[in-house]
Amino acid sequence: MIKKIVLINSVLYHKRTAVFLLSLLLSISVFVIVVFFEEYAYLYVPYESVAESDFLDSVYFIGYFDVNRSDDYSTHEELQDYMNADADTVRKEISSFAAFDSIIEPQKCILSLDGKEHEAVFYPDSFLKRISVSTDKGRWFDVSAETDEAVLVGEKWNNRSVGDTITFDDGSSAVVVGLMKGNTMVPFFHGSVYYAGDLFNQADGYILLSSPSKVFDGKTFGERKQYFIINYKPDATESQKDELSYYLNQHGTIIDFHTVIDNTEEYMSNWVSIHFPVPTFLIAVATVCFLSLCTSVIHRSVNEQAKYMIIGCSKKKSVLLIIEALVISFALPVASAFCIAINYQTILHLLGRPYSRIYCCVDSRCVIPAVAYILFLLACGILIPALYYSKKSPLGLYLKEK
Amino acid sequence: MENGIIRLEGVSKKYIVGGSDFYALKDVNLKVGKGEMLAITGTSGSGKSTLLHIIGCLDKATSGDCLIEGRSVGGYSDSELARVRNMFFGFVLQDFALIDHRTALYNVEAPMFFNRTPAARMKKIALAAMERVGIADQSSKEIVNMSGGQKQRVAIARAIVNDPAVILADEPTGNLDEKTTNDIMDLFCSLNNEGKTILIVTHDRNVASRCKRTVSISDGMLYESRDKE
Repeated sequence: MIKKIVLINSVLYHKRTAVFLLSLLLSISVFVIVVFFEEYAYLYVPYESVAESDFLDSVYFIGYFDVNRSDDYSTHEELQDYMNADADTVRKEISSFAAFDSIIEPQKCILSLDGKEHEAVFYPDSFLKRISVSTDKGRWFDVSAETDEAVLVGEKWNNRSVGDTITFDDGSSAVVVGLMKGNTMVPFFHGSVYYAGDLFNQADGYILLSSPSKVFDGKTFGERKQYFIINYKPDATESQKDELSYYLNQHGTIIDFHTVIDNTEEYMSNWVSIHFPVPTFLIAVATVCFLSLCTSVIHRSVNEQAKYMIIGCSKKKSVLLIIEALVISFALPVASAFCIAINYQTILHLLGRPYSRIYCCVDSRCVIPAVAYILFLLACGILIPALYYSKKSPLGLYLKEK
Repeated sequence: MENGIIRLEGVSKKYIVGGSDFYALKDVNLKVGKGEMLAITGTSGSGKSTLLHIIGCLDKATSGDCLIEGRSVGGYSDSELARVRNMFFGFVLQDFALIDHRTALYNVEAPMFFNRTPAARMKKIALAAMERVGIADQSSKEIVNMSGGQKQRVAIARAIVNDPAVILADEPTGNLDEKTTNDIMDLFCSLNNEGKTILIVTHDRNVASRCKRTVSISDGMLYESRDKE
């Protein structure tokens, strides 16, 4: 092992500064590309969930705020009461419309578990039937399951596993079917909607549950919000839908999910055009430098390798030595940068700064481009010396020169 | 001489130069006995270095057979040939073939990187070899800062560090002055007296005269010149 380290050092000896700087550049590039895709996933994951959801015959309603009456309310609470009352009126009145099918709105409450209070969101079955979200471990809810299910979000649930039963302090219980990282996007209505991301939020530390369930029964929920999804009946005619839409527009604004998807695509396209050039440029520069330095390291070490071959190094050992030198000097720092990037959120959490990087979403697919790039570097680190040695032998070149 | 420690049987080496065949060696037969000190002489381009490269498993013959201790190396793999170069031969070349920006000690240790010598013992063995050639006090000096004579002593120390049976020297004194040449030849003679088989390729008559046997090579053909007592 010591011999190998000495020989690897010997391969890189003349280019050690360039190798160090390039390793740094490659590591930064990989870090930037992972971060780019994590931030892209923050947009893409909600988009994908909405695009694949069954909400395309639904509209999202946001209660109307009458600015002319804002002076009538001296406090924010009074204003909220007014808006909620208005939304409640909508809830009651729309049931009389022929196109109306149901209202979907997640409910929030506080649950007590092991003496500690935790925020929880209940998703109605009508919601869960229409949308599915990726989990990091386990699965999303199965509405046909006979037991009450829970999905836990965030690093604070690291001591829980899929299959565990959590029993709340009121005696109700649910089986953990899925675990999600703290900055995973979960459905979470919180106001006006323009693009899919507005229908999602990071819910670090939350317990997600389905309703109806034994856990749901008898709980006290927070104030009813003035925004919710309204489902049209599948057999509703266009005129019936128009009638309901007209009513909803009198009391607020509505946005259909086709528009949400179109808006999201436009937003993502703009985002990519702004944010993509930097990582692309970095990767391009780093890759060109990497390829040229690989070639340079080989050329520079040919003479030395020939001398090693005279005293007993085989051609195979020589090429392996160069491959190992390239792989260790480049792939290891890059792989380390990759590991740091994908665990960046956890590291910040451990450093006591859990919310310093919120506009990202660690999705397993974010890592694919970075992994592909690392594999490409590895392949180059192996193939370039192998191809060189297949055509020329350092010893042959040396003897020819002499 | 019996079968000899090294035996060449009808060895030819052909190169293609400008589209036509050029024979660097033509049907060469040679036997080298254990403990011999043989000079291979010839003019520049006569094929003497090619002969040494084939004997030392650095190059392969186009035809014919090269036998080391009675075993043909023609069918040896790249790794097996490397092992022969590492354990059976020690090389001393005109340009020294040392790693310039490394210390003398590193260069002498280098052959042990490619065999099973424990890393912990390498320094001790290398220093002993350097002591043998009288250069132990220069162990920490970089090769670039050494004189030609010192470099050649390092090369000889490197050649003997694995205690090989045969030392192959290609114009070992080609870059050295007369005094240093004599010192280096004294060293070769001393190693030969200790039982090492030594083959020296040279065009220097004085160097050849210090060997027990001389063969000459001309246009790729080998001629027995003289056999001293």
